[in-house]
Amino acid sequence: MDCKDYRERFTSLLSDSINQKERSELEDHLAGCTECREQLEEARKIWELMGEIPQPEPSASMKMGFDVMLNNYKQEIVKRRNPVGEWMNKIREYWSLQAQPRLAFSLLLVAAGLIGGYLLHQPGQSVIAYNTQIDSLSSQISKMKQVMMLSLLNDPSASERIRAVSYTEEISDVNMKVIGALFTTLNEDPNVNVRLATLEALVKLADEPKVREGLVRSIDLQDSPLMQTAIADVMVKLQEKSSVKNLQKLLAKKGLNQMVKVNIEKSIQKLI
Amino acid sequence: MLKVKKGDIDKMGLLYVRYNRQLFRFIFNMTRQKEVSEDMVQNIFFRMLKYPDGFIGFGEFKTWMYHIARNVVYDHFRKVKRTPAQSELSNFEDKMEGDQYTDAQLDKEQELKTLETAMEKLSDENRELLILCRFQELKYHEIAKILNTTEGAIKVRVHRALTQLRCNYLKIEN
Repeated sequence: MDCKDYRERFTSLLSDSINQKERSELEDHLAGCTECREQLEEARKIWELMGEIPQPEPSASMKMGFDVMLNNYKQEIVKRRNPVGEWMNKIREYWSLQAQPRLAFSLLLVAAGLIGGYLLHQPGQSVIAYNTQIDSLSSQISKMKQVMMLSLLNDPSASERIRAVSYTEEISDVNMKVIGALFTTLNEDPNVNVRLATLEALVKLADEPKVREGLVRSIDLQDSPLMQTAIADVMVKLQEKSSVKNLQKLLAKKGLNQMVKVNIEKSIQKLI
Repeated sequence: MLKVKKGDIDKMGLLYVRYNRQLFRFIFNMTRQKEVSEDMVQNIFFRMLKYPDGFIGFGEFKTWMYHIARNVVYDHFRKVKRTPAQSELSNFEDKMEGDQYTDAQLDKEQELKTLETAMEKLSDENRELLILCRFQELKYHEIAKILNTTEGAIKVRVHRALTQLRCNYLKIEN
């Protein structure tokens, strides 16, 4: 063993990874070799200085990040396991529990039910009778709604009247009686909101030529600026050219609101 | 870790509490970048969760952890192609602003700074050895397992790394 071999043990000594035999050998050598002692001191200095290099602490956000990651992963695992693994287990358990005779019996019951149902079921008259019954019932309901709507239209409360107007959407085939009642409301109801709602309901029925006619005629009868503007808009929407005359007549009226005037002029331009 | 493998994921939290600091310091000493190191610690724990099969029942968890950590760190080195200028030296400059420091303290800080620079000049392999041995305070047989070699080889290599470090240190000092 020469000095070089001993020096290789320095780091073992410093890091305390040296065994007893090596240590005593090294100590014996050091006692007699000044150069090696100096070398060891140098090495120790560096070694100890290394120990003084500040070691940073991980920030709190790292721990938070880990917790979030762990939670996400757990949820993912649960999701992945639930549908496949656990359902398979349940099915397997169920199969093992179900003894063969019990299963056969339940199948027999199902079969008996199916056959019985088939035998009891008599197609033909009963179905037709049933259908006509439903038809008559639904037409009765429609009539009832109509009656209710007509009576509600005379209610003193404006909100009730608006509700009545909205019922027209639910009545399947609107007859002239209903349309007549709506026009009466449109032209004579004291409340602007009710009139506006009625106008909306009538626009939906505008496929009927009589409804369009009635709307055009109604232009002369409206004196509220709100209604005048709304009805002019409706005319543009319906592209009702025959309304131009009535609109011009409205323009000529005295005391017409300035905004309404501008609006109607625009509407007329669009219609022409 | 065996419990984690069997599905008791909460046990991973325990392992995290036990090892996160050690692991963080290992990576920080390797990369000298705090944020990058924290990301890597996260990454390593995620890998351990996701691929627990890599841990074979016998052998120590620590060894396995360092195996993964080394892969992650060296992957990172390959990616960034080592740009040493990025390193964040401990903030001596900030500390020195306070004027109540004595000359001895300033000398000490100068020495430490020189040492850190000397550490950076080492090869990755040598630096890693010294970090494992000095900062992580692992025994030679543990390092040997992590690096897949014998205890004897580690003994020689650590010695050479320390000699190299001293050499670098003296060069910078003069």
